[in-house]
Amino acid sequence: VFAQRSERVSTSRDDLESSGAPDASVLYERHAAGLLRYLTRMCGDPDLAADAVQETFARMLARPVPDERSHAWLFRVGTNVVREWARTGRRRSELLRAAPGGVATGDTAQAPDAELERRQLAQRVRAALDRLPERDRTILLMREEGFTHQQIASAVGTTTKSVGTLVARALRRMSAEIPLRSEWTQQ
Amino acid sequence: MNQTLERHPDEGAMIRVIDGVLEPDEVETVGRHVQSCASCTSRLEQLRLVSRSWTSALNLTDGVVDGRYPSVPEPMRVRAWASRAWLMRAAVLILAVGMFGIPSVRAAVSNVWQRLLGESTPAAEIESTAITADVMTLAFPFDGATFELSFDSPQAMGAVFVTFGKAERVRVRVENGRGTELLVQPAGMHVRNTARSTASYRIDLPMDVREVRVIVAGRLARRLEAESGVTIELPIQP
Repeated sequence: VFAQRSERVSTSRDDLESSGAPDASVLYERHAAGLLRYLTRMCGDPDLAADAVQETFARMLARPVPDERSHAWLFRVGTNVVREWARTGRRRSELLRAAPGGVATGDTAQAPDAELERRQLAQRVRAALDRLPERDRTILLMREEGFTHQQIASAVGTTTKSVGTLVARALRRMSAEIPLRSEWTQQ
Repeated sequence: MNQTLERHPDEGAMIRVIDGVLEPDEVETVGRHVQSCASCTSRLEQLRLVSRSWTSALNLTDGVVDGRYPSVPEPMRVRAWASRAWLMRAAVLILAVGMFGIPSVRAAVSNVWQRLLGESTPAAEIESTAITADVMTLAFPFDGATFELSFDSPQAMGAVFVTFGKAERVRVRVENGRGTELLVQPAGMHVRNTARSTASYRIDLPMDVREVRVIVAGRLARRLEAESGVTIELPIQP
């Protein structure tokens, strides 16, 4: 009897694996960090972004997508989740805020002046990012995550060839708002 | 004969050069023009610098968001879930209650006894997989109709995904799920803790379900690593 059960279980597993539906935990491991980074940059709120990541993966469970399309799908749905919540006025208080005192992101200790300057610069960049039209922001942020122009075009509803023009225009806009300097990361 | 552009390429084409996604017909024309045109070479370098600076600027905002540092997921390990000591305590408890002769309890007693005596199918063991980021997956073959999922995650935000293979009907009885959101979907469910709470769910599954996966993700997983608050009850025979 037990042998029969074991056989039935392994057959069921084989069915699951051969169905082409990607394993949610594998997809989570592969894409969650990038999606969290992207959504945090998109909305500026790490807690909201973290919750949007969970919501996005929950939606994926309800509607599995083929593995080859999962990356773009997750980012598109994640963007929509953040957009929906912004539109419906979902309040932060509805979400449980993470306990303060999170761990710093592995930065080495910096002099107070350098740290202050870094924070001020970060706030200016954040503000400039917030002022960008949503489509431009999406395009720039997806490009940073390594999406192709074709995938970006599909996500924002434009032609592949016009993505380059939109990227250039958004970059110009950002550099007009703040003097972009490549050496910032060394600070 | 080589073709070159009569006019300077626009910035969109420059971005395609930088990103390495020139269309095949553009490789010759745009590429050759930029190489031979000092003005365009200069424009390209300037745009490349702006692009790199933009990446640096984004990295800067990653360090500080809204005056706070995002927390970094810690690597985690999955604890030994169904330990023999746990089984022994469960057996004693169920045996004591089972004296009253409740049929369902007798079935549970039988199940636990089978496990303690090593008679249960090896496939019933929970297989746990530690994943380096903030996810842990517990997968166990399922050979019953009901199992219980409970967790205690004070001040933790995260998600528990439970997938049931291709099940189309799932019934979940919430024992004390105050402060949690429960989203039941055709092939699984998603539990999200929104308040300091202990949640317990009793989940009835169609008989054709043969595998259950519990995926604990996000901050909840990190919290659980510290507190070990999730217990997955043994599958209970119908």
